Amino acid sequence: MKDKIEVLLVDDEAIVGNRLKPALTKIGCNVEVFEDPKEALKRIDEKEFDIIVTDIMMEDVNGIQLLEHVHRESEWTKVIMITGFATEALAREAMAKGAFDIIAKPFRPSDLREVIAKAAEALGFEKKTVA
Amino acid sequence: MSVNIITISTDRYSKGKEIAEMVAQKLGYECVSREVILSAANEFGVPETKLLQTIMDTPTILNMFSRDRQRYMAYIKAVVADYMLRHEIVYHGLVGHPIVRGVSHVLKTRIIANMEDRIRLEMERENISEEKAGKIITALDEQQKKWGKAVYGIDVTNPIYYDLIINVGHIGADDTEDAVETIISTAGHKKFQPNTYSINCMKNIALSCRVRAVLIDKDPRIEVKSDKGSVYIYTKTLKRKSQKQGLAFKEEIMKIDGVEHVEVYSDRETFLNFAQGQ
Repeated sequence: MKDKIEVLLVDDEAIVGNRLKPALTKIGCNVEVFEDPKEALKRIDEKEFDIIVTDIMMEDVNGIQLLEHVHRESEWTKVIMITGFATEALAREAMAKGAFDIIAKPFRPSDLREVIAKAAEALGFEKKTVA
Repeated sequence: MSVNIITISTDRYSKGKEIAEMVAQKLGYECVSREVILSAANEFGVPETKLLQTIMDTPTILNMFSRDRQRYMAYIKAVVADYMLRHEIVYHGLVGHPIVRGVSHVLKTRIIANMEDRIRLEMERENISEEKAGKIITALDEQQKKWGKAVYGIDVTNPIYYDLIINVGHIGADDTEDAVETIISTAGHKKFQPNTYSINCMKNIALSCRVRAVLIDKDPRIEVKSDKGSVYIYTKTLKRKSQKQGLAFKEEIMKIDGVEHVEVYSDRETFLNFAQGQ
């Protein structure tokens, strides 16, 4: 098992990546941030990430499409959806399509860290890897 | 926290209770119905019979918005929401599912039966004519609709409020097993898995119901929304009162477990625009 958790974060609002990258790096994740979901898809095709954190409402490629793409490429990767437009229907759609979790914005970086820790544990990372 | 909930609401004579108990037993969940009324009675120091009347009697124009009725209903909702937050349950009854509207990990089920079967069962049970039995069943259905309208402002028999509707009359008179299996397999679908968003919705609902129950004596028309410990309140009681009283009001709310921040609005439109959460 690797020492570091490979995380890809995609959100078309730069502030989200800027805020979350240091919070996740601090707990032992290697984080790659993308504002353009199409660029994120290219990177996903090149590399298998452990965890992908994606916004849902994005132009060109939305988070649900990204989730479907990831699961076509890899059964390993856990996908965490973040959205400012959470509804019962959207949560159900994301979970039905295999999302690991869905978090409504705004949230604290510690909220995401908790979910990342759960996803890492589900992947078999030791608890000390995410601390 | 990962808590699964199934709510089952039923018509009279549709085997709902039996099905709810079987689902709970197979899943290892608790089957909850009137037990919560007893909990609410104990917790809020109200006679159980008064609470039972609140959920069973059809509200009349005179008592629909009576202070007692609203108070008792607020207590019941607070206990039901709290129970749903903390336990894996199959809730059988009418009170549960409208409270958790919008919570994605709750499977909201309704069991119905053919009218002719229900009338036949009423005839057998009460030894009465078909005409009389028909009138009784129709009156009971009407009572259920009126109750839902008065308490939640919705027609609780409307299919749009449910994820799954099963007509037991269509799957064989004795075949409750099919209904049980259908509910269990539906509840097991990924879309009903608890997630951070849905659990937060449940927590918000439970806190809002709790705050409303505590404040209902002060204002029976009080409206409450919560979002991760922030509580938003609409009440007219503070409109003409002093700032000092306003602060005392906020301090009282801050004492409630889980409340981190309070905002009080005396204008409903502002409340609706700014209040977050559930």
